[in-house]
This record gives sequence, structure tokens and C-alpha cells, in this order.
Amino acid sequence: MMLDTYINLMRRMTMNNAIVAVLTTAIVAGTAVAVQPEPMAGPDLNDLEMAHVAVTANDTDIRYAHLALALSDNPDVREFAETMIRDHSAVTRQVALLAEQLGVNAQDNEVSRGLRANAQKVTEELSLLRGVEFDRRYAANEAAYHRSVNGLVANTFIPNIDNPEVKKAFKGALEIFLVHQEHAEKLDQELGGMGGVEMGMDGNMSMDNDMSMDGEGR
Amino acid sequence: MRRRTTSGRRSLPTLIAIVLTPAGVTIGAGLASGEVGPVVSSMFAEASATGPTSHIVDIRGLRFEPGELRVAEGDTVVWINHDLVPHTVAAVDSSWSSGGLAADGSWRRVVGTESEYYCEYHPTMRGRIRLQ
Repeated sequence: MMLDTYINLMRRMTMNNAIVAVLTTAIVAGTAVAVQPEPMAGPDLNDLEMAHVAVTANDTDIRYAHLALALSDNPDVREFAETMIRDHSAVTRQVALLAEQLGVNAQDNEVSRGLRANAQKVTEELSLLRGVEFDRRYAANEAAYHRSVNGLVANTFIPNIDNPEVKKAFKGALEIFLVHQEHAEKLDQELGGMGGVEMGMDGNMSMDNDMSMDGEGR
Repeated sequence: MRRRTTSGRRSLPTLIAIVLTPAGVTIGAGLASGEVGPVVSSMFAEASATGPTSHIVDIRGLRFEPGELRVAEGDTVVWINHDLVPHTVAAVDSSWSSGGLAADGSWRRVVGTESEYYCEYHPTMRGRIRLQ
């Protein structure tokens, strides 16, 4: 697609604040193990900003996976983490290639910044856990995180992308992430969880009852 | 569900044509490395066999297509990874595994027994081979 066409698309493609608020809530709820999702007024997002959110979410999961490899001895958890690194890295490479082909760069934005801030908080909290407590929390977070991001991509991003190449890339990534979600839910259940459904998906869980450090918050 | 199954018998002129094509050269290179190219894999099975049939299982959208395949003992099955992410093809009983199968890569196996298999990277991906 020609660059000017893409720029025109960007100018036309905006999201209203209500959708962005839902989007932000979903990401925060899915990403943060312990953070109460607070609806926030977000800016309208164009294609490049949505792409940046996707890349940020991608990188976030890679960082969680590296943390799991550093802290977990559970073979299933480690295998899952290896898959997250392998797959999300492949998606990141594809996004970079597409951006290069289009001659554009993803644009940082308020939602991405919020996502990074929450990821930092979750990482700090996860890093305090060890053994099965870490494994359970990591698996539950992965299940909830993928479910949130997948819902966001399916229901908010893809319907608002007109560029067929960008839309195709998002659809392809969604196929991968849906399998990750299924894998994470299974892993969480095998570790005694409920497939991540208890992890703040509806925004009703506070930090205290969602992420107690003694492991009784599940 | 898509299924591509081809006869194992070809006439001599056809076999010569296969060997002389660029694809035929690729087949030889693939054989030496233990893997075969995605397009020509079934042709190799055809050209080298006297009776067995080749079958292709496409890995697409993190699914094995077809998910269940009926073959005769001695047939060759070729798995082709069309996905962006790598996969493996491994027996559930751990008796065999393809190892990592990169994007656009392929792997073949001569079938001796019925198998249930899965992707070790994505355990929810499952497939089955049955003997006719």
C-alpha cells in the first residue's frame, strides 16, 4: 500500500474515547495480576498507535516469560514460557517487517505507556514469588492476559482496521494468541487454578485480594 | 478439511520429468538434510516408492489439517508448516518427534503404526494417523 494512502487511512481511522476506555480497561485487567483496572480516558488511536499497543503487549509477555525461565523449575511452565518467547518474537519480527514495507513506525501512546507501567508493577510482584506460588500466579496471569488482549484484538482492533495488510497481520496474530490462551488456561488448571478467570477479568478484584503475597488470594 | 493424496505409481516419462525438474534437485537436497521442501515432498515419496502413497498434513492457523488421516502401512506423511511460528510434530507416547519445524518448513515420516500426535510447543494442537 502506498504511504499516502496509509496516511489517509490513519487520519480517517480513529476510535472514540468510549472504545479506548474499554480497551484500556481490558489491557490493564488482563495484564496486571494485582492492579485494579481503572477506566481511563484515552486518546483516539490510529492504526499505528494500535500497532504500538500490540507490540507493547507482545513485548510484555516476552518479559514475563523470561521471568518465568529465571524463577520456575516446573517443566510445563518453562515449556510454556519458551513458547511465548518463540511465538511473540516471531510476531514482533512480522510487525517490524510489515512496518518496514509500509514505510511507517508504530506510535507510542497513552495506552502503551499505561501497559508498560502495569507490566513493571506485575513483574515486580511476580519476582517476589517462588516455587508453586510463582507458577500458579504466572499461569493465571497468562490466561487472563491473553484472554483480555484477544478480546481487545478481536472486538476492538480488527473491526477498526481498514488496511487489509494490517488487518491480516492482526488476524494471524490472533490465531496464535488464542492457542496461547487455551494453553495458559490448561496450564493454570493443572496447577490448581481456574484458568485465569479469577484474575481480575471483570475488574472486581482489588490488589489486596487478588495478589496476596502469601498465595491465599487465589 | 483439505486432503491431498496421490497415487504412488507413475509412468517412466513422468518419473524422468520429476527428476529433471528444479523441484527434483530440491528433493535431493532435502533428502540429504533429513527434511524436504514443502512443495516437492510428496513428489519425492511418489518417485521413490513402488506402491506406498504420500499424504500431506498442512499446519495452518495452529491446526493440523486434516486432523485425522487414514493411511496404509508404509505410506509417507509430510507435514508442512504454513504458520509464522515454529511447531513440532511429536507422538503423544514420545516415540518420535520432528524437532523444531520452522515457518515454511516440512518434515516427513513413513508410517508404521497408528499414532496420536501433537505439537510440543502448542500442546492443544492434536492430530491422529490411523491405518486403513
